[in-house]
Amino acid sequence: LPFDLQPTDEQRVLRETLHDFAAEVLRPAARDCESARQTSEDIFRQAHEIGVTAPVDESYGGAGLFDAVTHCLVAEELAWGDPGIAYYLIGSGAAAAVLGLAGTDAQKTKHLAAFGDSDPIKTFIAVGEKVAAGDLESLETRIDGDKVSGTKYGVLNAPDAALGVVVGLADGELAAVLVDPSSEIEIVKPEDKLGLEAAPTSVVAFDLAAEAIPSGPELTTAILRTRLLTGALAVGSARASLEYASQYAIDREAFGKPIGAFQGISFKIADMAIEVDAARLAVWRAAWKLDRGQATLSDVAEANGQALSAAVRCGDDGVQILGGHGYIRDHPVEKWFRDAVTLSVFDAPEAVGDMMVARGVHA
Amino acid sequence: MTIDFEPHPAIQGVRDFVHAFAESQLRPLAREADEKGQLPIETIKALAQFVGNRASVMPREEKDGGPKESIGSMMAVVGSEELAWGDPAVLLNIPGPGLAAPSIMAAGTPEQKKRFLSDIFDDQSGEPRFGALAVTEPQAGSDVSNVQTTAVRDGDEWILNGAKVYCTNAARAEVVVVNATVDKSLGRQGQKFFVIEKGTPGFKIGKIEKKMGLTASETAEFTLEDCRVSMDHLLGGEAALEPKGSGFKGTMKAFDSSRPSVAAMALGIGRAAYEYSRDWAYSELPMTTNFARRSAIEQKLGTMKRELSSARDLVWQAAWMADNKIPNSKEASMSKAYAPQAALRACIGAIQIMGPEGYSKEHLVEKWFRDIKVYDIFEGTGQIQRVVISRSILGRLDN
Repeated sequence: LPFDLQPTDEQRVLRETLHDFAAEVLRPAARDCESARQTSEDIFRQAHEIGVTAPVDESYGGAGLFDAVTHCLVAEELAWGDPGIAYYLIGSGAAAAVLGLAGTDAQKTKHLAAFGDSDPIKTFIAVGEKVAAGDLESLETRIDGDKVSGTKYGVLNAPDAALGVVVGLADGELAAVLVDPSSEIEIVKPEDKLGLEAAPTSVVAFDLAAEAIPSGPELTTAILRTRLLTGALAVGSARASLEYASQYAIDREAFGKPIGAFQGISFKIADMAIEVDAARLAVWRAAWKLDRGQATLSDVAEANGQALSAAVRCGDDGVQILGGHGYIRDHPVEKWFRDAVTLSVFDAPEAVGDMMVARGVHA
Repeated sequence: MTIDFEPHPAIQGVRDFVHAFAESQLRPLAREADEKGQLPIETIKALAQFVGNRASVMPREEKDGGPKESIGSMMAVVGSEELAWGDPAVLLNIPGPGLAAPSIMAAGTPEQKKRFLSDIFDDQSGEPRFGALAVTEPQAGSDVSNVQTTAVRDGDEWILNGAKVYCTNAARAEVVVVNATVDKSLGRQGQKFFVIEKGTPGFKIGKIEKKMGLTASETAEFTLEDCRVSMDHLLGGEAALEPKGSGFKGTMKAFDSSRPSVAAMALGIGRAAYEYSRDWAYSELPMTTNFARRSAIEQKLGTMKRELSSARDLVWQAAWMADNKIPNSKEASMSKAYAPQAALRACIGAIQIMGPEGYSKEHLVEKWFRDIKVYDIFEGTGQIQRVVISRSILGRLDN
């Protein structure tokens, strides 16, 4: 099929549903979940009912599989509502994608049904470390057969997760294991962080025996997909800032005119709009490649670099356009800016990402 | 309907074909053309033979039994990227109607399309023929409403007076399309387009500009001094004078499709610089180069690649919308605002990666840097693109 940027009818309906959910449920709850440092059970359940937080095949009791492009559309829309809650919802179920794509039949049978329960499990994928996050080739966590050892940062749900995936290297190759968090994981400390507070994360030390997920191209694709979701969330965050600041530029007057009439403001809006489109297209391009099994770490780094830098820039410009109003918590833009900067660390900050782009291309 | 980044097979074929042409025919001419500020006439003739003088006149895919889907805009941007990758200045020497085509196609009568486009440019003699469009004046660039050239009616004729500048190929064009004010009280809507033929008395070419880059592309100024043309040279004929006749704005809408092509050319230049400096770095810098320096270079190359990929996404998005009849004024401007700047950063980055070899005329990267700058200026400056984009989001707030 030739080049096409039109989502399928199904994807469009899904997007509309999620947009309403984001506008009516997530936006109003954002500050409360932030203060509570936890997304509410009620929201988690509602998102689960829509069936988009964990892709699980119907034959394993799920609401149905969906591809990486759809997964990214979902993440963008939820993050438009609130990046923190969206990170929690997407992150809690993403392990299902790894299991579904790369797990053994026995692993799928054993674990996938729990994602589809009326009271679904919460899980995590532990990738980030003190130094490396998106730079998967530099991970220091070692996997040796069924042994895993390493310290992970930004681990979601550590105290109450029912299942976790830990990613590391085995003889220099990307590898992953399934762990039972109720057993021997050591929560070093909960993370008290700049943004994305609705998604509680911890520093966790792993040194235990675990169940290996078979390595190979399927596992790499699965892990890259979870990495790309960070970029997709960033697109939603950037778009939220753009839209909010645009409306403000129309409504707010200074010197007798709407501030959007001044090019110091309107050119910022134009640049934000370009950043958002460029970011979304980059994420879609990588997702499309993932679905064809062709994406490399370099492709995902490229998309995430574009999306994360867009989120940070739009976050900054959003606050700047609102001026003093942007800095106070009556408006959401300061939150989106903090969320965007935090998100950028959950994958690879721009400089590291760009190095990965170059290395991938040359290698 | 589904998100898919794979170009149509016909597009891939064109890309491969044009790339081979650009690599074998354009790139080798780049340095000499830049130094001399022009191409040898034999080379221009060879280019004319190759493209048959009519590269951008009419959509040809249906006529030639090509793909049924409309992919003309995608074809144009993919071809433009490859040609500019070969050499942007040589590309502008490929004979054809240039920007005269979209304006005549948008506003001309069927007779005018035949007389000023098909009859001239579909000629198979292989003689190089050019067309041109002249809008800019010494005192009016982005602010087109300030155009001072006038056209005064005298019976069945028009008398034009004024001065135009920065016009690509005006000095050698068979036809030059100019905008002139017929009724000052109507502002921009009082401007109409006229076709001036080569040799018309009162049409006088002035100096050929010496520029920072794109030196082998001929940029001329000219004056119109009591330049008389008949009524059939007014695009759209007498009907254009009616209140709802083809005005400036409507005609310029035709440029929604040319902006992505210009952005694609910028992308092609940036990609040339990126690829050249990448290959240079990996072959010239020993693995033992200190780690920090090597990482810094890799990071810069990664940024260049990432930004150029996004430039291509934005260009393709705008072209795809045009082909699917989706209004794309905002997206066309996005591509034109983003691609030249991304490409400029790539050219500067390439020079800096290569150091003294980057500024040396032994390599082409210094030339690509000089060439790329104008892409953020002509066909609507980056600032004008941002006016278009922000107005499409905010509405018109400034009046």
